[in-house]
Amino acid sequence: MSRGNRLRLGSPDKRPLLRWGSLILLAGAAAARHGWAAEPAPPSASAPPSTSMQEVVVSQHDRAFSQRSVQVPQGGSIRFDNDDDFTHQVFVQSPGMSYESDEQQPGQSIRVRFPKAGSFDVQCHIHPKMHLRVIVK
Amino acid sequence: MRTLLTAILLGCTAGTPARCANSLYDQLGAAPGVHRIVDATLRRYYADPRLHDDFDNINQVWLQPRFETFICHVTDGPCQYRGRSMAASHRGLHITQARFNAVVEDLQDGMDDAGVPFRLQNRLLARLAPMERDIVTR
Amino acid sequence: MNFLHAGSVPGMIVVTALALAGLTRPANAQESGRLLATSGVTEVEGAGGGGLAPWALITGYGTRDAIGATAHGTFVGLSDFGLAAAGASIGLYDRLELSYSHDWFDTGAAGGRLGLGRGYQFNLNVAGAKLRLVGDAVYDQDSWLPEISVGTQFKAADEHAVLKAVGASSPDGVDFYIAATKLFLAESLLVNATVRATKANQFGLLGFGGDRDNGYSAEFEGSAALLLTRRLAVGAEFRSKPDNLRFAGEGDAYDIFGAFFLNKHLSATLAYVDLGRIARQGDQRGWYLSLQAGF
Repeated sequence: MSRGNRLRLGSPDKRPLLRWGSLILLAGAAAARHGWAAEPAPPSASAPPSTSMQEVVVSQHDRAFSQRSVQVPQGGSIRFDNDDDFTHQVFVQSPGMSYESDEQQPGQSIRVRFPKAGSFDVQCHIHPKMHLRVIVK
Repeated sequence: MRTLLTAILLGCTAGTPARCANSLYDQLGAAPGVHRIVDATLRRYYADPRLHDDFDNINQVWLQPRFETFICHVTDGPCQYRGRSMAASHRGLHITQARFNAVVEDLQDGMDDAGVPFRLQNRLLARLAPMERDIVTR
Repeated sequence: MNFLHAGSVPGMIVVTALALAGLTRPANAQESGRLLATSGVTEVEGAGGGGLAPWALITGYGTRDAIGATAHGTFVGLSDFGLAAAGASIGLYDRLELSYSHDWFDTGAAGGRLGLGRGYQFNLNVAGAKLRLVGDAVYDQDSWLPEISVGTQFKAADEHAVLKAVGASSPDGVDFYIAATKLFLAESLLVNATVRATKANQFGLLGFGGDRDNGYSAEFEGSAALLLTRRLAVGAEFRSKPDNLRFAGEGDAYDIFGAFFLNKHLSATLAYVDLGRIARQGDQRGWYLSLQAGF
């Protein structure tokens, strides 16, 4: 499991986006769960073996992502490991991708697939200062 | 144990359930009352410079309903609190006694804003005070 | 009663300085970590507590990680006498309290009647230490365990010749006490019980031990206070005292008080006290005013 540097992430103000994002997410949540976004891993088990060779691992620690940005090949996925003392969650609200995970307890992992190319902002609904820029090529 | 004593003194035992309707939750105004208290209190937490490091990275939309459920639960209201323990949920914040007391003071001010009488405020504080030893880790 | 006596002027200066210190601080300067009104006030011998009795609470608003200091000035106007006290104390990490108080006892007109001269003054120095053993009065709401502290007060009186003449065995003495304080927060009620081993005559102002009784006696002090608002508490206290001197009987002391906590830097206590018989002048009753500043 790779651990990136813990960076203090500066974040553009995403609050108006969040309000719209919440509406879109609520409408699209069910679709997103059954669609191309991944399902959260079972609570006590470690993440199941990767279905893709190109998996990036990002850690959640100290209420921040371990990296400010990450590159993923199209169709690849990111595994988010909660290495923190706090409950986290992962959501993406961008044109072209909409995803919302369940709450992620400390020690839990969540895998998110990125089937579309583009640039996406991954956030945590609980901790608004958490941002991860994902560049999918 | 003191709750049991009070219950007996008020004649509020299993034999006389009718008189037991007045839980602390009810006295605080039930759901609307708790909402008023939590709303006013969170407003203060988010504006308190002493608590900036604790609240500047937590979403109020996420926190508020959980805080209300928690207050409902500790005041014998009809709520199931499914969150983590006070110790577990605060461990990573390294709360000092001074910051804990700032939170209590802001809660007192929030209850003032919500019009809760002083002696009734103390009944809620009495339920929360023992959590200090679980929440304060520094 | 004459408080313009030279010895009282330093006291008045201290009290005025305290009041200014408390009033010039912004009312919402919340640098101190503890909750308002949770350290009590200062009793006549300088220890943190009520007006007449030391409590288990450690003085000041310092938390377990900090140090808090307080200064106090007290005036008591009795039927025939005047009593004043001024001093300072430090609370360390909510564990140890060190205090100092200087007490003045002005005999006023009674001084003349006692053959000492009008306005004759006795002085008492008290150095105190208190150690919290167990418990936390504020946070332990789920337990019957009170906050318990043990303390000692080293006292030295002056006017040795007069003390000897009234039958006191010694001008200095040491008191030992154990105090248990419990805050029943759900009832907004604080109670305290203190047991003290002492030989002091009139708190020590008239020396220690005497020709009637020269041993240590166990005395009881109790306080009860009702919190009415965040800033106001009212209550009552009782303090029993030894009766060691044949020259004059000594009685128990009572008071009813109101304590007002303006902010963490200033509080004022007003009480009506009955200190019992003093020096054959009858029951001494009157008003008590104390100001305490915290830093």
